[in-house]
Amino acid sequence: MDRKASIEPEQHLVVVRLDQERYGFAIEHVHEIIRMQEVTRIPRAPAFVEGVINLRGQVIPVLDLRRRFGLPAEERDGSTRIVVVEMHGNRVGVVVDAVLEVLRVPESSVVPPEDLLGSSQVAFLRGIAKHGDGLILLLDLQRVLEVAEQQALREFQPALGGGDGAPR
Amino acid sequence: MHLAKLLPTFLAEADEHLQALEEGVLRLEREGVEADLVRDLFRRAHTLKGSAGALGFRRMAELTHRMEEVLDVLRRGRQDPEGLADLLLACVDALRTLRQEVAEAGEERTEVEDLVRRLEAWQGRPTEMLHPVEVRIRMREDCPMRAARALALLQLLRREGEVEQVVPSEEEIRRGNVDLELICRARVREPEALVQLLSGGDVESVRVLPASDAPRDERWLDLGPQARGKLSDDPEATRRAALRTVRVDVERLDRIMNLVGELVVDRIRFQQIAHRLRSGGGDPALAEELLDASAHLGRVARDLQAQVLKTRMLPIEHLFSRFPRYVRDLARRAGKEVEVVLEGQDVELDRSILEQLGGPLMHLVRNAVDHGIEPPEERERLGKPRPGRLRLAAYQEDGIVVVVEDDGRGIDTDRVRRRAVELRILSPEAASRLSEREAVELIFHPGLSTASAVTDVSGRGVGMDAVRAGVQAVGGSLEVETGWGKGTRFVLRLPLTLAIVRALTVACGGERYAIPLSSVHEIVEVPASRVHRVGSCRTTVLRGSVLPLVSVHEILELPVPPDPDRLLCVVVGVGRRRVGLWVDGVVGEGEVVVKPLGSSLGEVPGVSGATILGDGRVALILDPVRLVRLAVREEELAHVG
Repeated sequence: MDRKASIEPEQHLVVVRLDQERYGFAIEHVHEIIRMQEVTRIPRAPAFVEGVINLRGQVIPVLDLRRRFGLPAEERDGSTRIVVVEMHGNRVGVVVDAVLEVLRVPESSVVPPEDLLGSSQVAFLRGIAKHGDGLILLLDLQRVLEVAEQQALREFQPALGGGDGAPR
Repeated sequence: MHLAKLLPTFLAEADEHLQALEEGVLRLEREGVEADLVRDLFRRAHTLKGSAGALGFRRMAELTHRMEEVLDVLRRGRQDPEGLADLLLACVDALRTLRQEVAEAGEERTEVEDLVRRLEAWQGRPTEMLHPVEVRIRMREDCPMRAARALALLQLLRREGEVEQVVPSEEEIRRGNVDLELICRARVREPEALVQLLSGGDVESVRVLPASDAPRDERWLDLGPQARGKLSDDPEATRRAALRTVRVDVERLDRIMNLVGELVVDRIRFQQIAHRLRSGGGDPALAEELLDASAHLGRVARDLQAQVLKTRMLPIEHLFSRFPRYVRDLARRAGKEVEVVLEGQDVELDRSILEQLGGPLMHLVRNAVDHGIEPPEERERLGKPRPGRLRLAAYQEDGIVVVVEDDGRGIDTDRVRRRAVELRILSPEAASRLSEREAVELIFHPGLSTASAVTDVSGRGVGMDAVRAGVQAVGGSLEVETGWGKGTRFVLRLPLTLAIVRALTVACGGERYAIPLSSVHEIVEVPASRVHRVGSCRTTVLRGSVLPLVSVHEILELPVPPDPDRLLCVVVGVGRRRVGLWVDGVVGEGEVVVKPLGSSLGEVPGVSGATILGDGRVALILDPVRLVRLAVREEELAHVG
């Protein structure tokens, strides 16, 4: 038995595929994984907000990770999934091309995302894990979701500005 | 941690007791000292003291302790509660503030010294007996700045009486020579209160031992770490624990509602399967059985939904009970005499409506006291009883009706008219053409009701448009009736619940949307030939009035279809105006369960929430008022805004 491996801290990940890359969701934030379903569009929402779905009676927003990352849209197919994540008590669905596996990576294999300079997604990453002969990009969910919120708010600003103020 | 778990219970209990104290003190003021009442007040203060002490909220414990003492004097027969009501009410206010501070910041901030002194002064101290005790205080090992802590404890003890001897001595403590234990000989007013007063926080245990020789008096009051978890050993608390009530977070009820909604969706699926089975040549008996079962499921789901809704209801008493005190203070400041009559306190309302109704009601009540009810002398001159009468009543009648009524001077419609002309809201001719009813309605006009000068002339003041908007925000309506010299009555009509609304489901741009029926007036088809376009703005004429038309497609940025031959429009009321919302089609009408959109989306323009339709898909609930505002903003339709 490799004694060291059992002592070394690990990260427990849900690994998904998006475009040609593999991304990791920290498992403690993943609430469940569901099949793609019909989504109700939200008017005037930013493009990466796909809409809302009914998750057993709860209405939750769904984000399209491809659009979020500025990747080309692709036909949805049988392997498309919604990863329902939970953060600060809010549930949000994130659309990915496929869910690959659940695995553990040792902390020591994780390097800061700056090593991937030049990628447009670097702002959404909290690290990069080397696994086997490839890389897993670890998502910084806070940023993926929170920025979404800010951007969404910004886009709504003209409509919200002045609250209930009188029209001009 | 213990505290975190106990705090919510404490806060809720404190609310209850403070409310009861306030009501009791008001009664005391009105009806004089009465043994049962004083006993009840005493018990409330005592219970509160116990809980506050157990959680280490010293100031609350201190203040309630002093209130208890004062009430005790009263209980023993002092009959001149002159000025006491004011003092006790001030204490209740301070306790409320402290409670708020504890809830928000986890610690007490407001000083109570002044109130304590005033309570002492009222009592005409010192009158009480002091009991000799030995107090052993043991601090926790991890207590930081032990010496300072020890001195603080001593100081606290001094307020309870006289400290005769301390081991280690105060000198020693000041030099920092203090171990975990502090032994004090003291003469205190109430040995029983010491444990609660001193324990909590960094104190591990407090023991109070009577220092008298009499062995039969010997008793230990120990509040060890395990006992500290108990709020109080008051019999009242024990009794309450045994009551068959539980406090449930509304969010949890919402979650149950969500699941019930899913049952309804499943039921529809079962029905569809049964129909497929029947038409697809399956066993008809089996299909019939499945239909029966799904009908039963539907009934169960409906009952369950009704039960959950009932659980969300609270008696309106929760709202009304604050008014006697509120009115008393207002009346005093305005030099009025006002008698408050509360009716229908047990009428139940959805909790969220109740919460949002507080503001509008306070406003109406304040207006009634400030501007409606005349000063007592004037009332006497008019042959009215000296005290004005303010009636708050609630009853059920196809929803809930709340009435706020006073017997004051009423609204002077002539003055309202003149004022509207002065402010150029109306031309003199238009103003004189208004019926009495229409003239009264002017008080809701934003221009008029925000003009502060109106306050004194109209008999009704500022912000009536905000009050009406507040009532409308919970799906209700506000009407006013007035008689010059006789009084004014406001009638609020409210829905039973916000969790379920009757809504019209419409189709637009390939999606379905729900529009609350409360704002829908009618559905009309407008032939394209009768639609006038002025710039990007469409209007038509409906029964002689201009009706602005708003394209839902355009506001929501949905694909806009080419103008059809006939425009299907849902006519909605936005304030006092009507606007036609152009949609693709009407799907149906029924009750929908209102759900919040995920908060991560922030505010979605024109949308107030979401609901789940029979097929399990989400439909957004449109908010006509905001929707129209959006359109106005975009099209700069100044005359609609």
